[in-house]
Order: sequence, then C-alpha cells, then structure tokens
Amino acid sequence: MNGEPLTILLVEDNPDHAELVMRNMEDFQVANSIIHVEDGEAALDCLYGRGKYADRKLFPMPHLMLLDLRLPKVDGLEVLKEVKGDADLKALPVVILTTSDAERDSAMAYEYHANSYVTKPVSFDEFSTLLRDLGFYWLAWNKRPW
Amino acid sequence: MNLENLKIFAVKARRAVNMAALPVVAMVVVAVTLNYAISAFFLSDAEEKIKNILLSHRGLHQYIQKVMHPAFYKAREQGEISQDFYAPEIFSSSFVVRVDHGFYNEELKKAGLPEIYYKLASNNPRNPVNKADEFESSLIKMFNENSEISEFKKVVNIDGKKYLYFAIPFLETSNACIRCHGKREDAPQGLQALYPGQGGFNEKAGVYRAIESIRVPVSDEISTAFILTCSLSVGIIAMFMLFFFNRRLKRTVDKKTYSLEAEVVERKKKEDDLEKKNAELERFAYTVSHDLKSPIITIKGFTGALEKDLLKGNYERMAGDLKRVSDAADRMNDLLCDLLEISTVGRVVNTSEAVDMNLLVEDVLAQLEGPLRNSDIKVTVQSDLPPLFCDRQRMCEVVQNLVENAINYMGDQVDPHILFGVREESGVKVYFVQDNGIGIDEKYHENVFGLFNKLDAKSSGTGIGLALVKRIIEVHGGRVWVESDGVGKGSRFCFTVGRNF
Repeated sequence: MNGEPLTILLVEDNPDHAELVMRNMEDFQVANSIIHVEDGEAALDCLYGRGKYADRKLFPMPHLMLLDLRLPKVDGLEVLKEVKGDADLKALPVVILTTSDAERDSAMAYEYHANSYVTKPVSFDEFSTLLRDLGFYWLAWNKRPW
Repeated sequence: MNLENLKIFAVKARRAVNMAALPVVAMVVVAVTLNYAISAFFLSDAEEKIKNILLSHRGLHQYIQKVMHPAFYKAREQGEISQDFYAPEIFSSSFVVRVDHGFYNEELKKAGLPEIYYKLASNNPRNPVNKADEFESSLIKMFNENSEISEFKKVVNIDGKKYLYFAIPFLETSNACIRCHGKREDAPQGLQALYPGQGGFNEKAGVYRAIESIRVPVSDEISTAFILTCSLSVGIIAMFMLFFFNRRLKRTVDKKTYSLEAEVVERKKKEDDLEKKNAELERFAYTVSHDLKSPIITIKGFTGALEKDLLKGNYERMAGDLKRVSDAADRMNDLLCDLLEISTVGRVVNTSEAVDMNLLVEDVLAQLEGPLRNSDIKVTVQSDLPPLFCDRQRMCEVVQNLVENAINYMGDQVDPHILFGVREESGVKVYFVQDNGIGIDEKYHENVFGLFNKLDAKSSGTGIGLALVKRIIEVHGGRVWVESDGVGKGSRFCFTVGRNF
C-alpha cells in the first residue's frame, strides 16, 4: 500500500450484511474508509456530492463501489445505469455484490457495464476470502482511475 | 327427430317460405310484364305488315271505283260499250282484289313465304265466298255503330294455332255504289244476268257494307316472346339469387370474421394475462429466493464470526452477533409465514357476503388501537359507508394493512391523521385510506405493491403488507393504487372491488 487514502462506497440495505462486509474489510485493512449507504438514492447523492454528502472531506469520491441490486427507492441496476452513463463517474469500478444469482440480474448488470458481478457466498470463510481478494484486486492490483 | 326439433324445423321452414314469397311474387309480376311487353312488340310488328296489305288493297278498291268506273261509264255513254255489258273481272273491286290477293299468295308461295289469309266479308254478298260469319257480322255492326273506330285486332286461336286477326271496314257505300248495289232492276242487265238472287242488292249509301280482314299466324312470334321472357326471367332470377346468396355469404363471412376477431382479441387478452401471471410468478420466485437467502447469509456469516471470536477469546461483540443470528432466524420465520399467508389468498376463498364497511372499519381500528394510540394518530371514518360485497375476513386484512402502512409511514408528522372514506368514480365506489404522512414519490407508486418491497429499509415489517392487499383486491376483481402529491404530502391508498363481488 502506498499510503493513499482509499475509500469504498458500500451500498447495502441489509445492516447485517453491511456489518459482515465492513468487518472483513477492516480485518484486511485494504481501505482507509468505508462509506455505507442503505439505498440507491443515497448512493447517487454520495457519488454526486449532493445533500448531506456535500462535504467531500467527510465523503470523498470512492475508489470502488460495492453495489447490491435489490435496494429501496432507487434499484441497484438504476444506480449502475446512472453511474456508467455519467462521463465523470463511468470509470468508477462497480462490483455488484448481491444475494441473487439469477441469470437475468447478471445479464442486466453486464448490459449496464458492471465491472464485476459476484454472489454473496453463504459460507463465512468464503465470504471473508472473497472480500479480501476483491479489496486487494480492485484497490491494490488494479490501476485506479483516480 | 324429436318434437322440439320438429317445431324448430317448422318455424324455420315457415320463415324460409315467408322470405321466399316476396321475391317469387315480384318475379311473377316482372315475368308477366316482360312477356306482355315483348309480345306487344312482336304483335305490333305483325300488325303493321297486315295493315300495309289491307291499305294496299283499299288503294286498289279506290282505283277501280274512282278511276276505272268513271272511264267505263264514259265509254258506255259514248256507245263504245254496250249498255248491258257487265264483267266482275273488270267491274267488281271486291272480285279484283280477291283475285289479286290470290295471285299475291301464289307469289308468296313461290318465294317460300307463308301465305296470308284474306277475306272481304259482307252480310249481303253477291258471291257466297264473301258471306260474313257470325263474328264478322258483329264486327260490321260494331264499325257502323262506332264511326270513330277504324280498325280491329285480336289474337285468335284456330285449330290450336295462334293468329293475329286484323280487320278494317270496307269503303263506305257511296251513291256511285248504289248503281250496282241498289235495286236489282236498276243494275246493268249483264250484272242481273250474272247474279240471279238478291245478294249484293238493296244496299243503302252511307253505311259500311263489309269488312276486309287478314289473319297471319303469330305462334312463332308468341313463342319467341315466351322464350325471350323465360330466358330474361331466368337471367334475372339467377342474378337475384346470386345477389341474395352473395349477400348471405358476405353476412356469414362477416359474422365469422367478427367472431374470429373477437376470439383473437380474447386470446390475446388471455395470453397477456398469462404473460402477466408468468412475470408475476417469476418475480415472486426471484423475490422469495433473494429474500430467504439474505437471512441465511447473515446467520452463516455471524456464526462464522462467532466461531472465530470464540477461538480468539474475543467475547465483546458475541452477544450482539448472537442477536443478529437470532433476529435473522426470526425474520426468516416471518418471511415464511408471510409467504404462506399470501399463497393462501385466492386459494382459500371464504364465501362473499354484503359486508357492512362501517362495522368492519370499526373492528379493524379497535384491533389497531394500541399502535394508533402510541403514535398519537387521529382517525376519522366517513359516516354511512356503503356496504361492500366481498370476503369479509380478507377485506379486514386489506383495511388493516392499509391502516398499518399509514401508521408505519407517518414520519414525524406533528398532527398525524388518517381518514377512511369512499368516493364515486364513473359509477364505481372507490374506498380509500388517506394519511398525512411522508408521502410517496410518483416513481415508486407502482413499486410499493411489489412483494417485500420497502421504501425505507429501517421501517418495520417485511414489506408484504401492500403486496398482500394487491393480491386480495385482485382476487376480488378490483384494483388498488396509490395517490400522492409527492414526498411529505401524505398518501391516499385507493381500492375498488369488481362488479361481480
């Protein structure tokens, strides 16, 4: 790690799942900070720095977005569509992290240019390994857009 | 065939006869008119021919009487001819014309044409061949009594053959005629010698002494007219029938087309319904798999974390993690109960009845008294709600879920208020639950009724309430929707129940 502050935006409506993700991320110390929002509207507000997310010091532009699909208000696919359709945001790596392994969901996610699509593993060990690998790959190995 | 079928058959037959009667009568009238017109056309043609011949004969009579007689008398006065000389071959116009017609007939025969029957008929003829029969006598009488009538025509039947009979009066008897047709003793000696009886004498001037008649066969013309009429009639009948059958065929085809179109529309509707149902089912399966998997991940995840912490001897967060596991299991149980609940709607049907909505709403509000009091919500119920024909128990669930929904999404309204009422929209009663809570953005108006869909992750409940309401209302053949001017403006959930309920 080169000491740069790295931020993950976690969009997850299930507080338990969010807790599991954050605990694992903290354990592996891949990111300096995790911003957790519970719905698609908040995710977009955070990305655009709108409303209560206007302060970029508190809510910096994330380097990775972990996005659930089934979300209250604005659906995960809608968020993805918006991000990938925005000139300033489209470079942001978006990893779909969801319970759904439905064919339709992954197809739609790739249709909207998701960078990756992973299904939450039921096993705790696999869940941990996945998050570790995911964090290292996208934040360390992968050349970040910013 | 039983009696009932026989009756139906009789009615149908009578109707067919009634339907056929008018065209048949019309056809007969047309045929008769046609036949008359065509016959008249042919007969007038024959008539003209006959009249020509008779007029030509009259011309010859005139010539003899007006040219030959004066010349003859002059020669006699001058003594060139004896006073007593008489010869019918020279003097009698009826003789000359009769013989002339005889020659004419011979010529016709030579030319291969049919002979034409000619007769000069008189009541008082010199020559018995000119004697009028009863019919001809009556014609002579008729012409004498009706001076305005100049001709007589009739189609007569002789020995089974049809003839056109045509007669005109012979020249009026003049003073010149009386020389030979007056008293016998005044006539020339030669004439007296030639005709011994009183025949042809004692005539008076100024009357019609005879008629001239011709008859020609018209069987050919009449049968031609008949054949023409028949063919024309057949043609017209054929056209009429073609028109009739074409119209019937068109009507049948139209009817069939309409029914086919209706069938296509209905089938399309069924297909759409099925498609909708399929999509709904797919959504349902998706939702169920997603929402049931969620707590499993939580349970597995936190038991894993607990195991790890236990090994490390890290006990701080174990109580919290255990609660998460327990809550997730409870949540799963709730979801399964809800699923069971929604699956029974439409499957388990209670008998519908006329439900007093005033009582029903009162009951539901009594059940929700606790939560309503806790949130300090004021409830108004419109008085005299009309009764609703529905499944009472299910309707209770509908009202309960809508009121609970209003309670859950009241937000931090300082003066929370719920109104239960009814309004009429194009003859349909629309019941509604209105609140002044957080309201719903228009883009979520459809979404809120989705299974396990929640607009606020933190709100209580599994998100089945409105999905259940929608399912129950759909089973009742009605419609449910939400009206809201937007966030912070409150919501009004409306529903109707189908007519047959």
